[in-house]
Amino acid sequence: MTHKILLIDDSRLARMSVAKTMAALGMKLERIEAADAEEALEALERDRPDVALLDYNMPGRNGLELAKEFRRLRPQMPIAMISANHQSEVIERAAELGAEFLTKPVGPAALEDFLRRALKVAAE
Amino acid sequence: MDEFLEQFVIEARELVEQGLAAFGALQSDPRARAPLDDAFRAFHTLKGGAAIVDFDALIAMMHACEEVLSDARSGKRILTRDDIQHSLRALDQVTQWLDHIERTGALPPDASASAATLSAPPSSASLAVEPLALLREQIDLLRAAPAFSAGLLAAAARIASNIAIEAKLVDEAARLRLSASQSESAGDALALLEVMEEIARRMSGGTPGAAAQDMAPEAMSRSMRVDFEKIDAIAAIVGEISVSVNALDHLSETAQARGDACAPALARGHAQLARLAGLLMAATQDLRVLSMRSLFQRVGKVVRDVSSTLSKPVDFVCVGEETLADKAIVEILYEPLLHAVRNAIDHGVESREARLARGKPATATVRLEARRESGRIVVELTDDGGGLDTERIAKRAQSRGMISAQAAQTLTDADAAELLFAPGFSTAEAVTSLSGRGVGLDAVRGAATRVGGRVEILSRRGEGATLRMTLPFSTMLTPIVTARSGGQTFGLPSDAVIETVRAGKGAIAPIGAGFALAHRSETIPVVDLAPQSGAPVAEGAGAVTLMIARSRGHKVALKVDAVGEPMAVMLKPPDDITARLKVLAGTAILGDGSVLLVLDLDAIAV
Repeated sequence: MTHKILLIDDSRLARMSVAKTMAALGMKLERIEAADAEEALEALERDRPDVALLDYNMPGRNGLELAKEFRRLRPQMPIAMISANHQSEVIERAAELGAEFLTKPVGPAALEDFLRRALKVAAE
Repeated sequence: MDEFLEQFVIEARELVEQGLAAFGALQSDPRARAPLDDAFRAFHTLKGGAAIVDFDALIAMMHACEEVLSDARSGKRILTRDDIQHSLRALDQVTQWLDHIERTGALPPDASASAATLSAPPSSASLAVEPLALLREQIDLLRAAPAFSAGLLAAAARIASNIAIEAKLVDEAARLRLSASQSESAGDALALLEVMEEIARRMSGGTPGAAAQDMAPEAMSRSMRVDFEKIDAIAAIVGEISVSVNALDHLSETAQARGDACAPALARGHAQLARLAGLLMAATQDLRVLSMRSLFQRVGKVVRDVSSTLSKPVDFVCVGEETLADKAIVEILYEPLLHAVRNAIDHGVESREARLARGKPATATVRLEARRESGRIVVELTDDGGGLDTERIAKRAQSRGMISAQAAQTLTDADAAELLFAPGFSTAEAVTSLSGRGVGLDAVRGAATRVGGRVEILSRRGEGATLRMTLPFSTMLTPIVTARSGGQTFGLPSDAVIETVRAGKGAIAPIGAGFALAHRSETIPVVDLAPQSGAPVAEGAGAVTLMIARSRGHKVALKVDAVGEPMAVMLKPPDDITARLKVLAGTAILGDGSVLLVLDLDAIAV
């Protein structure tokens, strides 16, 4: 069964990079991309993705605020916050929202580990 | 050109434009919120892009620029003209590199050289792109946390897990998750820390393959971890060496006075040894030097915890976290600062309503500043609360029999501040879990004066209070001034001595049970040092020598027979025997083998 992954980052380069890493995993994944909060919420509604990967540092609404929105609409959906900066406060608040945290650049092993666990949850 | 590089150039050019626009605004107002955010994000995203296309020199340069902006955003630093110029030059360099990439389709080969010459303003950056350093950073943070925090634990576990997985230590990642939940139930981080440390050990040497992959070669050769005990042991030996060298000096002088044939050779030998001992002492002190960073982080955590427990919003501002000091000094600061900041928020900062009624912002500000000032460390903790309540303190002191009713009426703010340092004093109605437990201000002052420093409280009624601690840079050597009195040589912390005067008989007059000096329109109580230490009093006529010094916030004139040399000595704290003399801060061994009694001026009875 093909799972839908929603990828949100204002940098297309960053989305390309995660896409490349995802493709190398050999999992059946369909990728949906969004460049900002509006597109992300539209995609959430329209495509009903199984998992979301959010960049933390975005202009306008940052990843944490968007994650809060997501939680309102999809309380059980597995979410991972991606960021290059390891501020404990960000990680703690992500954890409060039930979101995981991946460091940028996202390595293949970390991504695979997250996705496998997330998709098990999504299947339930 | 590969599609990643193409996309990188497109986005990077936009980001440079954004950065330039932001700095344009910052040039007229370096504190403007939005441009600071935009500039930070430009550098941050450029750094991210650089990582994707493996452009190492750009990663390093953007990281340094990003750190400066991050400090500016959090209020730790205000952008200077230089900071802005640096950033603009960095953006220029990025543009040149992008031009090169477009022309040649590849990254510029000499990039790291240019990045190095564009040295960014000083920042305490740990590049933390390198996994082992990041893991160690998390271990340190978790260790340094003063209280158990589930959030911090979860964060550390997550980061460690990512690192372990990338390092192909899959079993360890699973053990991390297990130990994290064990730690959570136990309420302390020990189980998790054990696993994290084992992973760090394996990454740094256990599995050669993983170590070589994960660690940048530079990181391996530039530093090493050493236990503090080992450095302390070396410092102690170096101290003993200094004492022996001083003894040789004395010997050399004796030989010279006696016209001994070997006097010149002895003098040369001593000079050489003294020079080397000095270098060794400086190098050892250097090893023990730490920045205030971890101290500030701990205080920050306490601020957040207390602020949230009491529902009093507090803004925590840090200045000078990169200030360096000897490890022993930094350790002396921990308890007092944590205690003081709890007190400041609990008692000093008013409730939200009271603040608003007073026209203050609802969110209080607590500011922690550290700086070097002529060879000393000054640490100030300032709050914008209500300041000391002199009336309350006066009542308290009176009810405890510390001052008379009369004195309570006329108590000045400065005197009230001094009363807080009296042993056993506390204005807390009850000892709560937050404040008033264990560390009294008297202990704080004791710890400071024992190393030749001082503590003061400055209060501005209705506006706030400042706790100021002035400490020597290093505890290895304490600067003192010597004085002889009643046949005994004493040492006084030079920081406490204001001046030395010769006073004619007329200048000293009897007042009450003692004597006072009239000096520059002040009346200063006179204390004869000799009786304080049990040495016989020398009665003399004519002019007397007085050293005016600070004792417990007041001036005191110490009557001495003669003033000696200023020198730096290794202070040994009082042991069982010498501790009976309450006035002693410690002892030191002089070059001629005699024992110098170093006084704790705050303990001198007036």
